[in-house]
Amino acid sequence: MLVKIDIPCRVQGDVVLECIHLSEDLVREEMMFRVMFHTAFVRSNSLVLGRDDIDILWDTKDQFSKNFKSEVSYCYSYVTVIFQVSRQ
Amino acid sequence: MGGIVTQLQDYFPDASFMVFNFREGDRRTQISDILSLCDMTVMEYPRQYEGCPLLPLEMIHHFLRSSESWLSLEGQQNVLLMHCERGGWPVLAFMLAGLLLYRKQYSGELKTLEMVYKQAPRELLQLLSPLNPQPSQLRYLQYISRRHLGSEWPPSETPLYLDCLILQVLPLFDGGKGCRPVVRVYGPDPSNPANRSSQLLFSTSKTQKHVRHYLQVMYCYAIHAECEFI
Repeated sequence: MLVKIDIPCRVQGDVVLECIHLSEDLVREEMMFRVMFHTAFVRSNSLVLGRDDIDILWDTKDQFSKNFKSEVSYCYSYVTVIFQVSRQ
Repeated sequence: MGGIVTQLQDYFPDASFMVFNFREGDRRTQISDILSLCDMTVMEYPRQYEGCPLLPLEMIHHFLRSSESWLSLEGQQNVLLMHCERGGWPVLAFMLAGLLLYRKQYSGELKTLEMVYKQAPRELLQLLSPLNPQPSQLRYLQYISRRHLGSEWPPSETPLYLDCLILQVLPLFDGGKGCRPVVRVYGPDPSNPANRSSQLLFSTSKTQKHVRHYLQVMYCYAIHAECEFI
């Protein structure tokens, strides 16, 4: 299953993108992952990031590999950020 | 601090010192006042960028150029000191790794970063940064290492239009049930070139209408019906 989240915005230079899980009350937040990158080094119209390319909680890998191996071995296996290169 | 400075000056009697301080807030710090009184040049940098223990590429470039020219002045014994205030260790480690790669004293981004991080207990890094910052830091170290491949460094800031974020596998939160993702994007506003400071450029609206709840059980529907998920 792919989850697609629209993030329409223009960026230039150093960008921080963070993805947060929102609890049922739509107030409490839990950080899922964060990515910092620079637009000059994005060569194609997408940035494909594996689990080792995104900043995640310290204990996610260890904790999950011990207790939730089957579920989480594929967690965050790929994150794709799709860009459209604007012509200016 | 006075004691350390005296010790350093005794140990390197003919040396000049330049200090890079990664400060906690926005204001000039007490330590830079103290060190300036001891005849040391102090340059201050922030310790994070939108919560990430990294600095914008322009600032990294400034740091690398200043350090390099200070250390390569001929006929002088120049010493470079790096100091961080509370919470600044992750960014100091990154900048030191960047400098070692820039000066070709080390090679290999991961190896260099890990070597620097080993200088302090690993628990300190985990305490100061809730997320493991190394993937983003390694990306920026690669930007530094690859500077010879391009003619211009730092490169001009290419504007991009972000379209969407695709998660190819559902991250499991809510006790393993699924997730309700919200995305925020920070950076300088391309429509305001005069102000290069970072700001919130996009945020998913936190309303029931905009925030979708993806459940693990939806896998089977997605496979069979190829419904709304891509």
